[in-house]
This record gives sequence, C-alpha cells and structure tokens, in this order.
Amino acid sequence: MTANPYQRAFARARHARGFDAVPILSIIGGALAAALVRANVYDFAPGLAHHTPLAADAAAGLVARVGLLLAAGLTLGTFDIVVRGPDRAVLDIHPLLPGPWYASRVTESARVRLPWLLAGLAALWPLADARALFFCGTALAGAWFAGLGVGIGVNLAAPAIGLDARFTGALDAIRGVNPRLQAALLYAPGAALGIAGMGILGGTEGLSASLGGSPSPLLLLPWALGAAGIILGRAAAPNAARLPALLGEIDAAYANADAPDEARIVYLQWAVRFLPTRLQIHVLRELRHVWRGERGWATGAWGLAIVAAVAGWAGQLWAAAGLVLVIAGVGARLTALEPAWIAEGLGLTAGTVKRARALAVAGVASPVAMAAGAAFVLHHGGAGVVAAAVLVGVCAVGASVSVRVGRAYVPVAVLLAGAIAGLYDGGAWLWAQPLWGWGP
Amino acid sequence: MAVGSAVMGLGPMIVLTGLRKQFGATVAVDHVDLVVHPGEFVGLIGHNGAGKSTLLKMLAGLLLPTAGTVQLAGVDMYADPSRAREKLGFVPEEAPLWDYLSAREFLEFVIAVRGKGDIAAAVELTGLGSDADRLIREYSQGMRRKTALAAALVAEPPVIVLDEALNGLDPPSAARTKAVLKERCQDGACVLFSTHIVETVEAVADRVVMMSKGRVVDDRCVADIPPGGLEKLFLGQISE
Repeated sequence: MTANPYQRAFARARHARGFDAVPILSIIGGALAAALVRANVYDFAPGLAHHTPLAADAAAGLVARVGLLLAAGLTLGTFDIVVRGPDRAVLDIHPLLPGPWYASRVTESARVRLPWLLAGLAALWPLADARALFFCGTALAGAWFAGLGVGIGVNLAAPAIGLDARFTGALDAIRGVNPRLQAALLYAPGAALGIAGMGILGGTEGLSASLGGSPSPLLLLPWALGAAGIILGRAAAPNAARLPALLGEIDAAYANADAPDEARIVYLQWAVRFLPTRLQIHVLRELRHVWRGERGWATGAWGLAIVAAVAGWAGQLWAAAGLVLVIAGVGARLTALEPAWIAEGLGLTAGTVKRARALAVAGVASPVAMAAGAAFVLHHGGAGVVAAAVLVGVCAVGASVSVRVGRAYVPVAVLLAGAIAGLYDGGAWLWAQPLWGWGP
Repeated sequence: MAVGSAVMGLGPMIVLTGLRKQFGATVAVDHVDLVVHPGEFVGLIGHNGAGKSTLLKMLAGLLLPTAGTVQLAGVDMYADPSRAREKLGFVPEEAPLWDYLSAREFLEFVIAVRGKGDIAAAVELTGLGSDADRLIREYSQGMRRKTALAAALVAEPPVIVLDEALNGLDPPSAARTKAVLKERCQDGACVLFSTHIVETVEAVADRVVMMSKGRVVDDRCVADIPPGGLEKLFLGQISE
C-alpha cells in the first residue's frame, strides 16, 4: 500500500466500491463504434500498407479528430478532478500536502480517464496494419496525454489568476453574468483544449509523415506538451489550498442571485417552455439533474451526433438507431441514482416522474436522432423522412424504456448496439475476408 | 469585551477583525470583531439567517471575506490557508466524510494529512466500538457526526470550531464530547461552537456571543447570566 495518504484513501474507497464495468464497456464500445462506421470512415485502411499519401493523410485526420475529442473530454474531466471534485468537502477543511495531493490527482485523473484512451485505441482496429497501428496508437495516446497534462496544469493555474487583482479588468470583460472569480475557471478548460489542440494538430503532421514512410519527431509533440503541463501543474499545486475560498465564493454568489436574474441565465428553462405547464417544472428538474450530475451523457450526445450523422448520410438506419439507444441510457442512470424519498417528499406520482424523466431523456438523446435524421433527409430525400421518423420513434421508445428498467438498460443497449454492428457491418466484413475461404 | 478563562502566556487563538460579508445588496456579516483566547469555550448563538454559518465559513477559509481579516493562532487564514488549517479543527453543519471508507480508515487519513494523532485514541473518541470498521455510508447521522468530531480533534489543534455539530448527539456521546472539549480548553486550546440551543450554551460555554442580522449584539460571560436567563436575554437582544 502506498505511503501517499490521499492515494491510500482513494484506493481503499475504490476497493470498497467493488467491480466497475465502465472500463470494459468503454473498450467494447470503442471497438463497436469502429465497426458501426467502418465502411464509411475506414475505407482508406487498405492503402496504409502501401504508404499511399492519401491513406496516410486520411488516417492522420481520423486520429486527430478522435484525439481532439479525447483531449476535450480530458480538459473538462481534469477540471472535475483537480478543481471541483467530489472530494473537495473533505479536503477543504484539512491542511494540504501539495506534493502527495498533486501526485494523487494526476494518477486519479489518468486512472479514471484511461478507459477513454483504451476505447480510442480499440476503435483503431480496422486499420489492420501493425506499423500503422503503432504510429496511430502513439499519436492517439499522445493526444490523450496532452489533454491530461495540459488540462491539469492550466486548470490548477487558473485559481491563481482568479485571485490575482492584476487580472480583475480582464476577468470582468469576459465573465458575462458569472461571478468574476469564476471567469478564470470557466475559461481554463477551453484554454487547455486550445493549447493541447495545437499540439495535437502538430502531432498529426508528424503522424502523416510517419505513415507516409518518413518517421517524424513531430509525432511526439503532444507528449512533450503533456509533460510540460504536468510540470506546470506541480508548480501550481500549492494554489489548491486557496480553492476552497474561491469555490465557496462562486457557489455563494449563485446561491444568493436574485430569482429574476437567475431565471434569465438558466438556459434549461428555455428548453421546457413548450411543454404542458404541469410537466415543465418536473422536466426541468430532470434536465438539471442530467446537466449537473450526468453531464458526460449530455455532452457525449453531441459527440455521438457526429457519428450518427455519418451513419445517416451513409443510409445506415439501424446503426444510427443503435447510437440513439445507447445515449438514451442516461434515463437508467437517473432512475437508479435518485432516491425514492425525493418523489415521495415532493408528493409526485411514479407516472409523473417517469413521464417527466422520459421527456428529459428524449431531449438529451435528440441531438443524435436529429443529426442522423437530418443527414438522412439531406442525402436520401423523401425516403430519408421515413428514416428520420423511425429515429424519433426509437428515441421516444429508448427514453421511456430506459427510465423504467434502471441500471440494466446500459449493458443491454451496448449489447444491442453491438448486435446491430455485428449484423449490419461486422458480419459483412467477416464474410468478405478471403481467409475463410467461402467469402466472395 | 473578551471574557473567560484565558490560559496565561499564549496569544489569542482567534482574531477576527472588521469581518464583513456582502452578497449583492445583502449584508450577511457586518463588521464583526471577535477575539477568543486560549482556554475559552465560546458559544455562538443567533436566529436562522443571523450570519453564524457565514461567519464560521469565513473563519474556516471556505468563503472570502468582503472585508476584514481572520487570524488563527497567529496565522492569517487568507495569506497562508494551509498552515492556518493546521491550527484548526473544524466541523461544518453537514459533516463531510468519505462514504466508502470506514471511520478508522478515515481517521487514519486525517492523521496522515495532519502529521499527528493517535488512531487508537481517535477511534476511542468516536465511541463507535466495532462499528468503526464498517463503511461510513452505513452510518446514522449521529455516527457520522461523531466521526467528524473525532477527525476535527484527533491532531489536537489549538482552535476548534463547530458549526451546529453538538446538536443531534445521543446523551452519552454529547457528555463525552463536551468533556473532551473542556479538557482541550484546559490544555490551552479554544472552542467556538454555534448552536440554536441555548441550554447547550448554558451547560458548557464560559462565554456567549449573540448574533443578529450579521452583527454581534452581545458578548458576555455565561457566569454573569442568572441560571435559565440566557433564553430571555437572547430573545431580548434579537428583538431590539
């Protein structure tokens, strides 16, 4: 057992929580996602074995996009772990040991987000060429590491800027309706993504050259940026002792905001304004629950919407439907995590809760359905309208089923998506392999 | 205004100077000056919204003052927060604990972070017995509070601040906790606790500080108040 008290406590808590299936499901999900889009997205793969510039550029472009998605998730995710994490309430009232605390945050950030990297690596399987897999894997892991290191460094440096009187004017200029002290924290993940993104794009040049037959040191640029971020973070770690006051100030400012102002700044209220009045407040509560407690699903829906649009453009209706079903799984989380006494205390019937929750879940999943549906209509005309209607139906059914079945929905949806992938694309791919002898 | 049994030879443990907190147009704490000396056991009372919790949050470094300073055992909380927290054992209203550790594991963590304390004594302080090895998520509210109190006391900090933390304990635990706190005061620490329950102040405190509308409206020695007279005095102060 480690001598670092933070790591020791977190390891014990992890052990007490028991087995976590998320990493395994992430890897399966990455591999399945690649199967879903293989025909459209990986059609360049055969050219990699011959070092064709077109295939090298296509592979580098794909890795850059996935890498930027990983880095975006990490710059936001590291904010949650080093700045806002659920451990704050305990840590805030005790002295800070900057070195051990920082080491624990870096390892925890890496551990929690490692499944994302593994999912990304699993999604590279259709490249099917050892040399290409090595270079693409190095580049993708570099993008992940850049997001991790730069995210930690910039997010930890942000409190010092927020508390520094020299930045008052600049923070007032960019804070909008938010408290001044929050401005630095608000922009930190974006700034980190900007820095990491430039490194990833530089690394992409190196990847393209390497795949084309001329290995380039630029491939390692994201790794260097990530290491620099981790060094910056260590220098900024003592700032973490100032975070409790800074975060307390921000939370207190929101808690004391006048109601009319608050109403204007809560964008979710806009989303429910066309619903029946009796349901509005309950759907709003569910949407707030998603946005504050399950934000990964809401932001993930927009990421999956891009993949769904590709599927829609290619006419892969059931692939798009599978993606809608996966994201509708947030309803199962909401049902599983909310204690029954809340509905009882508010005097709500189970029907009202389920209706409101299903509407909120449909809202969260709608970007996936709408992106795929719009791509269908644009590319396939009148036939696409039918497909779009099917996707809206799938969204509604997925939302209402997921809020009823609870936790079991997520693995079921992933397996369903996998079955769709296997039947629709993977099966066709296997069938096409000459290795089997009975392929075409 | 400071009263109580100051331990000779030590400087003040808590010094709040011109402390003020304003949220928009609302003034939650209004120019509070407060000095607590070693050995003093001070009760802080006030109605809901009087500013007690806001004051204690600023004292614990959890909220930036709009104006004023906080010094704990000679260390400025907002200039050197980590060293100031070494001097402070704080129990907020909602006891913050890690649900997936046992009380023993949690106290081991606190001892390691604070660099001092004895785990056997800390577990004894909780009064949890063999329950100290169960996960905190299985604890009742009272058991959580006992664990949080032990975590605040285990490293023997010179400043002990409790926000409504003496409420909700069963009578034997309350008696044991009060005895330990008294003992710490005799050893030179100071205790500042907030509560709504005037009987608790009468029973354990040497000094009572009353707050209303963000201000300190009275500060006196409990011994100067006739038995049972605190409630009347308090109601009189907040109605003015």
